Amino acid sequence: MTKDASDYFDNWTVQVRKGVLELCILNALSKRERYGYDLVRSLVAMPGLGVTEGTIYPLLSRLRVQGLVETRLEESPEGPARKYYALTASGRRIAELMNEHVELLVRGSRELRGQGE
Amino acid sequence: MVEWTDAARREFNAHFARQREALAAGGADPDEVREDMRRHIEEEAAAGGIGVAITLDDVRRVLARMTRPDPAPTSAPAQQPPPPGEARQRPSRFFFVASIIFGVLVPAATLGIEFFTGMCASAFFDPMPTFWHVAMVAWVPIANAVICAQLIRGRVDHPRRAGWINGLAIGIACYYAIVFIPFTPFAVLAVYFFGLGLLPLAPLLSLIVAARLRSALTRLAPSAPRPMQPRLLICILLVFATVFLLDAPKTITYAGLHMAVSEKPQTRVRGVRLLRRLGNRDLLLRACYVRNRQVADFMSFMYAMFARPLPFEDIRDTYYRVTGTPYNAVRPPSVRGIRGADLINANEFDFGQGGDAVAARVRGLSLKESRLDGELEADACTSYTEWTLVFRNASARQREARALVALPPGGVVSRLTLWIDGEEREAAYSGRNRVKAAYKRIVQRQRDPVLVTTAGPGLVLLQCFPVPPNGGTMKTRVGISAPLTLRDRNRAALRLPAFVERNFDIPEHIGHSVWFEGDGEFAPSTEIDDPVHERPQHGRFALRGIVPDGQLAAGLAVTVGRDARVASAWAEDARREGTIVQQTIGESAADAPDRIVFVIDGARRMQPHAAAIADAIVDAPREAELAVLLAGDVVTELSPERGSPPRARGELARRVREARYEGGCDNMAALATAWDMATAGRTNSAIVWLHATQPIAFADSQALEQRWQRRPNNPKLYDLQFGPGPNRIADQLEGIPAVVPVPRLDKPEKDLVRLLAIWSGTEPHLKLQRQDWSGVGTPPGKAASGHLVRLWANDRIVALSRSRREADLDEAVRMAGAYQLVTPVSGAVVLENMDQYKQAGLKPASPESSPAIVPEPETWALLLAGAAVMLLVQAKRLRWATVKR
Repeated sequence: MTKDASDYFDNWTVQVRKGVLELCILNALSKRERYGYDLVRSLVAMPGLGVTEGTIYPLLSRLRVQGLVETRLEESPEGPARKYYALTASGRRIAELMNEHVELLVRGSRELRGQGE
Repeated sequence: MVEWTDAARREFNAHFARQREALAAGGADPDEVREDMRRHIEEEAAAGGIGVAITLDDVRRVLARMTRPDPAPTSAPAQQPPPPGEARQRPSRFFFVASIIFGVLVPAATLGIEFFTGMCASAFFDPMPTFWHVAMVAWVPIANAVICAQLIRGRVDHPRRAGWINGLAIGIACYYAIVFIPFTPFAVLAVYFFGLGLLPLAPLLSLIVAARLRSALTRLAPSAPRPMQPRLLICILLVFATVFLLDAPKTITYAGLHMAVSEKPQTRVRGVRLLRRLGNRDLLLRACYVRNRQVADFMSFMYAMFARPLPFEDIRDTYYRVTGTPYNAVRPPSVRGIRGADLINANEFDFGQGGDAVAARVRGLSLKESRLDGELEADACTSYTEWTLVFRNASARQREARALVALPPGGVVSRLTLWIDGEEREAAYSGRNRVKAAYKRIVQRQRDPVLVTTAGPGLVLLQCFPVPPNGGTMKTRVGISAPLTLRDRNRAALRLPAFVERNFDIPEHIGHSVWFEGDGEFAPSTEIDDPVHERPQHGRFALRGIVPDGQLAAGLAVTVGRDARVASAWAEDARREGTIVQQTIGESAADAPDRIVFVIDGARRMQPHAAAIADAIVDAPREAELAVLLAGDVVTELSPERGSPPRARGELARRVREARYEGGCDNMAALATAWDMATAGRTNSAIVWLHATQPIAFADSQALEQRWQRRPNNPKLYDLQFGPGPNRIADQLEGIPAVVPVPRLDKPEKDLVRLLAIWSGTEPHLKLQRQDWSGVGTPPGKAASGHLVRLWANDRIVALSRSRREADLDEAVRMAGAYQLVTPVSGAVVLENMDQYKQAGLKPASPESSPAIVPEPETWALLLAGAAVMLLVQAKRLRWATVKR
């Protein structure tokens, strides 16, 4: 791959990841509540997302302020008190809408690729 | 626990201080993010990633990792350039000027004017009755100013906080805009036509400005959540809930007041109980006064506009039921007003002037001096007390001094003097109606009379008018003839007269100067300050000192020793030539009742006496059946069972001790129930009524009167009051022979014990009896002063006054005039001059015929005669001795 092509791809992934990060957080919480350290670690470890803790925590705070997630503290025998995050009803609804929208885009994109064959 | 080194903590905090603004602009809570990061680092350390103690290097390393440029940029909008066109959304200069004028200056000025002048409070209602209301109102201009400042600066650091500040301001302005809706149309018209009337519009203007500011705030902080947090509806609901909580006591008070004056007894009781627990006493007191509808808070205003108006008498009765204190016994409520701090000038105008009731305290009127001079004939068991009073009026208008005076037991007013231009003027004694009419006529002309009439058993009403304004004084003297009460044959006591109710103040430094002399030695007294015991001459004893009014009002008795061998006394009746009145001491067997029904007042003031009453009841005569009724909001029987064996008495005492004593209670129903219980199958029963002051007669006494009219002799009602104050129920029962006051010599608890001891036969039952001497010559016993005759006359007048025959009543009035006594059928009035006496058809008593502390003429004559006899006997002895020698 040429350098120009590589730069182009990098920029494109930046744009994609930017939009997907919030959806990933909401999806990570869709089945159960998770405490911050665990949640962040799983997001940081997610292939292709490439984010740091410094990005995720402000985003979690904003989602809480916006009422999409809610938090609670629970004492932990292994370390500091754990802050658990869970989706609110509003967050769950938004997550569903976002997932539907992504599905729509991916499906449409695949269809377009199929038409070209 | 993971430790941080100081350097590590500083580095961490410094990092977030730098990030703070960016985080906030991104819509995150900077404090929360910092805490989350700290927790993350500690968790990582605990998991073994960093070590036990977090060092500076650890922090730097972790922060470097966390904040290295993301492969993917964050989605924080603040890190992006502002969207095009935002600058155009910033409000205009006109917007800011208008906002500051109408959203900051006008509401601030309105708050200041209302706070310092009480303009609205004096004319309509008090919009800021509490400090919290003032704080709420002040929030609006402050909040608008803060938001304006942020908008002018063009940056909102804390959108959520700004949202709260503005939202609450909108809620408060909204509440007051609704409150002032009735005035808004008039204010708009006034502004339009006269350029005045902006103040009532301040809430509405503030509301509009605050709403516009919220809109501008939203546009300026596009990163803030949509819709803006907190939701406006939440803020408004929060404010209304706060106002509701602040006004809840008032709302409850009005609701309770309407319940308490309901026609249904159960609702009344519920209303009174509600008011006792949750009502606002100050508001209740305001409602007792004439101008309550104008000066109360918004809730009062609304009630005045829409609720059924309540009669003042009902409200005042309710105040007593709830608090146990008559409304006029406490200081009138103070309400801020344009004329100062006393908008309710309840005692500026004297509504009771010239009336038959003492009524409320009058501004500026006080007792300046008081002296009690007494002469006690211990052996003869009679006394005469003169109470000299000087009233002072500091107000700018003439005042009438009124007082309800409790007389010594069995006492009668036998002298009334008024000082006019420094000279003593004696009273005229005549029928009640005639002297009252003369007094009222003079009061209307604003001249100088003083009037004394009876006002219930053992009470007289003293009225003096006018006490001149601007520091003027008025001096009067009331003379009281009274029998002494025998504690036993060796000791007799005089309970001093006292104020039961008064419409004047007694300053704390004013005490009653007492000076008693007599032929018996005075027992030590703890109630008199610095008492001085003297023996001015052989066979004479004196006691003097100062008595605070509290002590006098609580009931003060002086005790003197007497010669136990003296069993009778006599005095010549100067008004019936050749007639001698004799008084004998009789000791009768205790007429112990076989059933005793105690009626205990359930009022708050009885609480301190409950334990002593319980103890006394346990020791009631063993043979008697006991029952106890508690006259609370409802009548409750405390007796566990009739017949009361000793173990039941213990249970009874416990119930008396633990009963709930609250507010003020109507005792009439309990007395009627007690009558029924006492008479059921018995002919020798007694009701012992133990009660606090009864300043209000809630119900008519007809039901009780009927019972005693149909069964005049059974049961007897023994009336014992705990603490000073009037007894309106006793007033209503006056004239019923079965109603007898318990002799008062000590604290009421001791007097109760004495009564029960007499019934048990452990205390002597000594009675004084007065009658005409029918024998030849002078009767045996001690020669006494003319007060003995006056007391006989009083007995006779009281007996005649109970007759239904007109001739008997006429005779009673004639006797009262002749003996110069204030009785149930007569009164005493001092007028300014002879013309006024002539116009009223009255004749004043001569000073010579009036009693005095110095021995009276007839007493002098007796002493002289006695001395002459002694000299004669001595001379005869000398002659015999000479002859023998």
